[in-house]
Amino acid sequence: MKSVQYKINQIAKAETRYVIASLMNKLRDLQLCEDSFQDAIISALQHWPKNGVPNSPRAWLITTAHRRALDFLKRGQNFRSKTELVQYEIQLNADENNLKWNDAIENQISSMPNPHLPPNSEIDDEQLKLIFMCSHPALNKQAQIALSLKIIGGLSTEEIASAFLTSEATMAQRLVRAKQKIKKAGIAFKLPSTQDLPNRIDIILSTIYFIYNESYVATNSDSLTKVNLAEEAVELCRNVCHFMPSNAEAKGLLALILLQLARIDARVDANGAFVPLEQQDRNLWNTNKISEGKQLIITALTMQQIGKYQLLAAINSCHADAKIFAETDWQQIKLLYDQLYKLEPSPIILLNIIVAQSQTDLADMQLQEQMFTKLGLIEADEKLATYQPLFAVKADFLIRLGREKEAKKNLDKAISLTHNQIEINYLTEKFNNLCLH
Amino acid sequence: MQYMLLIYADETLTPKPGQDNFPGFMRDYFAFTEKVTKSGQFVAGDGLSPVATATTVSVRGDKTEIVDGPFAETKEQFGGYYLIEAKDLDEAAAVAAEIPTAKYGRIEIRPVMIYNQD
Repeated sequence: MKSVQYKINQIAKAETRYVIASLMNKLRDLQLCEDSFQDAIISALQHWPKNGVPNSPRAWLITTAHRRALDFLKRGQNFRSKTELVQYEIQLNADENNLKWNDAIENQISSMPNPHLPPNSEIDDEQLKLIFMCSHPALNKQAQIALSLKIIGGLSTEEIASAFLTSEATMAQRLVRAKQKIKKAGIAFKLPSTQDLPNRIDIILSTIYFIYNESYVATNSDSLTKVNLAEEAVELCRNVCHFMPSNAEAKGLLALILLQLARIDARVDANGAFVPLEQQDRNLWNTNKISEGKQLIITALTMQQIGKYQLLAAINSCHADAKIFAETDWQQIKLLYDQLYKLEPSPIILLNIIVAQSQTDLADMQLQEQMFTKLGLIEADEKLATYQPLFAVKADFLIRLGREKEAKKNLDKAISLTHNQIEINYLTEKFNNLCLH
Repeated sequence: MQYMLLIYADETLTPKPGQDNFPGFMRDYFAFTEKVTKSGQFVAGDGLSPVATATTVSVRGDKTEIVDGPFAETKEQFGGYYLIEAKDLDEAAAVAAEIPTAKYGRIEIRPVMIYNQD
């Protein structure tokens, strides 16, 4: 009994986007779609433990959810027109191939070969429409993230709330607002125009990267990494890659996330302390993730649509290629950051260029002095005023140059800008080590 | 001359369906509309959906930016309006982006209120 329930929960999570997309195609009211899907799940929890899981749970859930939606519409007074309702019912009847509907035969659907699943291309279209709707630019980023995790990822409101360290009520309200906006502002369930497409894809990818970064940084959290959100980001990204096979940046983003995730076990030691890249035990890096990430970035780069995610993935691929830190190809990394700067001129990328160049020869004190001077030229940029890595990097330079007092001042500043306890501990230890000298 | 009368209010103070003061509020509006119609002064008028449904469009360079929410710059002034028919928000945003002022100002899109809808 318990295992069937577990299985139903797993199915519900995986099928959310298929059922909701099928409902949205007809109903255009996301709240109604979700309510109908929830009812179908409740029905599954009643029927499946008794009768077994149907051959096609998706078809079963879609059929049941559409019926529930019809019930909701009949009961409510808020449907747009009687004609629409009648049309919807006629359509459902046709879809069900004259299957006479009642609760007693609900489980018969499972024995039907393929009750009414649309052909694959239609499903693909519906899935794409859903992805675009959840990341519509007229929704704010927080709403895009919450909706994507809820509708496409199939997470519960409670799970999303805990991942973002907010209360369930706050997250529920955010979702309700987003759904209201979609309905009342007329955000359509459709594919964007060719003209809008590049920008709309950018927004989808940034939503996924946002979700991933939230898991990586785990701001304010005691644990450095929350693997769940990262895995959700991977799944969302795989989904986008699947439906947009000709988009190189989607592959680049998936590669980037996999290559970074590959190092996750090496980032924290047995005592839970942060381990920087140069000290990580590279045997702990996940070789499956690395090889998949590298394969993806190779495929993406041959598509000749260079973009920031591909460049960032290529940089991470350089780290993955080095068996030990000293073998890192910093020259190549610097060149990749140079290219990135051309696409996106920002002081943060300049900071990375300086770091990469200084790493090409740490023993060359003249180079170190030169790079430190360069650093001085960009640090006035107000975008960097509260950027923690700037001060950590400055401290590293100052330690190398033997200016420990100034190094301590910068470490202090870096600590004050960090919210993650594990990173604070790491920086504090570095600070204390300087005091020993 | 024609004049546009812009209705500003704290949304939370506006009576909503189901509240005791709602029927009276609507009756007053119907009476007002009837009065200005009879007097020949009425040209057009509509309620707008709440500010939560607002979307703002601007064009900078060759890039159209679409963001959630109303514009909130105090140094910008209300300068004109178009009432358009569009099948969804994307279509409305595409039209908004073609308004010349979108290149340096902002166009706020608000759906016209449809009554008797949830």
